[in-house]
Amino acid sequence: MRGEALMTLKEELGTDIESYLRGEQPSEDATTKAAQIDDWAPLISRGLRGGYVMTLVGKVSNHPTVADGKVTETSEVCWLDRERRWARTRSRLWLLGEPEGSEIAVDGLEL
Amino acid sequence: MEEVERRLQWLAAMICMPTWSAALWYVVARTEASGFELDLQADRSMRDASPDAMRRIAKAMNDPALACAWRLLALRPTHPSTEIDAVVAGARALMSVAEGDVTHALARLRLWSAVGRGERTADLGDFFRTAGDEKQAPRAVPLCIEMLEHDRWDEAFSWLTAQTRRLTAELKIGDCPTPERDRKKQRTLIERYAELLFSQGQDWTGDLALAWLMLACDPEVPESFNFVLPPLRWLLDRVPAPRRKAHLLERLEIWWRAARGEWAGAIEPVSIFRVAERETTGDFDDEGIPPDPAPPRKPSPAPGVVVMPGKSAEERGLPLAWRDLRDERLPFVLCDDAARVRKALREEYPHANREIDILTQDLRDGQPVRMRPTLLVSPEAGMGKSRLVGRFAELLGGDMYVYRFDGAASRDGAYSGFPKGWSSAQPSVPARAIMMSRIANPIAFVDEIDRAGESTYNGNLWSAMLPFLEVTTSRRYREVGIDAELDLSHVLHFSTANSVEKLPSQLRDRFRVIRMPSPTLAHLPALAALIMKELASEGDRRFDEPLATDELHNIGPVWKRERFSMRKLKRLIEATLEARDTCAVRH
Repeated sequence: MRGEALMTLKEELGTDIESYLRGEQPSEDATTKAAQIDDWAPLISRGLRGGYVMTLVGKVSNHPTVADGKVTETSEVCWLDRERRWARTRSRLWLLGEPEGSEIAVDGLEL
Repeated sequence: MEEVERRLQWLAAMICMPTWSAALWYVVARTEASGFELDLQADRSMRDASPDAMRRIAKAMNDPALACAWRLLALRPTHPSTEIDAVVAGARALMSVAEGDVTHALARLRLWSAVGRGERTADLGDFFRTAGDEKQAPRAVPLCIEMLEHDRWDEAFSWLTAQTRRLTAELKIGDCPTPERDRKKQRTLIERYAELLFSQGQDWTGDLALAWLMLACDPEVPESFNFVLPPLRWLLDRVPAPRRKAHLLERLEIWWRAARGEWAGAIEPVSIFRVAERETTGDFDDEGIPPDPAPPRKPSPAPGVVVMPGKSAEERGLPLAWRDLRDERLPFVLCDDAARVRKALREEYPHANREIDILTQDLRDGQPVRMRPTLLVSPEAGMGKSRLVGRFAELLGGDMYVYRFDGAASRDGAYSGFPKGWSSAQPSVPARAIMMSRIANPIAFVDEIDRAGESTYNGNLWSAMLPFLEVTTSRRYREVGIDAELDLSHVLHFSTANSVEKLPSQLRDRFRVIRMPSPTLAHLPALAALIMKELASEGDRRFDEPLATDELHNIGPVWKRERFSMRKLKRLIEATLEARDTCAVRH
């Protein structure tokens, strides 16, 4: 419920990044709730504020609003796990499936 | 000036080195980078490390910061205090001009003066080690962000080593990596050390780990940047000082471009630090030169625009063919008579009058030809989409130019050009259109855009096109192939496709999509007459009678079977005319 969201999205992101700097991995709770992206590839392009940003493009599942299997571009990546198991974007935590094979088609922007 | 400030910051960092040998290494790296040849042994230590030799080197330095650094290195606590004071005073004078934060360096210099006067004893005879006992102020800017400032990999490495040794002395995790010849081995060692740091569980150890990972970034391996850039961007957002932040953002931009592969495949590989320094060095301002007297009033020039402003395109770096475009005001093709263009096209496309109106709605008499990027779509082949683009250009007058790019043959990102480091460096398609036509608003035409290869392994047409289709990104587009910034925002973009389904929505959204309708049988007489006229003008058939009713009746159902393809209609008419000839001969 909204009332329980004590931290803004931005504050949550800040807390998460600080924990990754301390070498922590996302909690088990966060991992079970996370969206997943398969057949993914990183994309570096101009962001809305003018500078470059990295996003991920791939097939999405377990996302709160996007249908399973739909190919989507995530919001800006703020941390990419060095073992490529997960990534934290501005909006949410993502579990990373297999990296891209040959196909890539972008179909929508994640909100 | 930026340059002066950077040198002063470099000197401050040198003064803050934890040991004399670390400081020496730091200064040697910078001295060599400045082009001065030092007499070094095989292990890169100095053959003659005596104070006299260092003073000699100091004298030979043009850069005051470097000279001061060598004089500081020449100091020993046993030297006369007057000498120590003199050198330290020189350093303090330089530091006092610095705009950034040099309090730590100044504190150390005060300490050295105190050692010289005998008020303090030097630790093991090493000025630098003595001052290492001082408490460190909490870090305002993360180490990894500060790494962006370094101009050479060697420099960055020695600086980071010094910081690491100082900070991790208590941790007992073993020593940080040493430089290796083998890049791959180096990367592995660094990655291993970074993991060790991350596992220490403090935010400053994570910061240090990221800084080490930056040393493993290699423009030849663009993926090596992927782990480092996202957190760097996030951390840089938090840096308070605006002026410094702007400079750091400039640097970070270069790192992003390297991550996109801009400097991969270079003939002489160079570190990202060197690339960043090279790319962000500004032009010299002509300060102090009096302005020219005002020129006499000239009549206002024909509408045009400078596509390649000189200040973002160094002449020496430009290929010959591009040099005379520099600072040149290129003309626009103007629309003389929009109504005439519209009428002619409506006649040739009687089944698509509404679409022609949409296509020509942005044309204004006397104004430069402007148009939103337009995508002509029809599921059928042979609907005359490509031909329409050609006719549109022809009707706008002789100066209008169409550069055609075959989307179906595209399997990579060549549309946006190839970087300069490559043997086949070339500019983007819109830039080429401008160069070949010498106008500011030519047409860049991508035919069969939906048939382009979808893999992004070597880049991809659809992503490559995006920056050109938006004015904000095309107005100052950095051409990697010719190392210049161009105003490509006036280029007209046309494309054709059978279907928009496969196209990414990001691409689709930038286009105005016009669906070309199929003609119907009702349009057959008009279209047939047009095709006859075309055939006549092509020279082959000049005296043909218009098609008779029965001929049209024969063509009609066949054309319908061919789904009203214009191309097929032309062939059917040609066949009909040939049949006429045969009959005529017989008779």
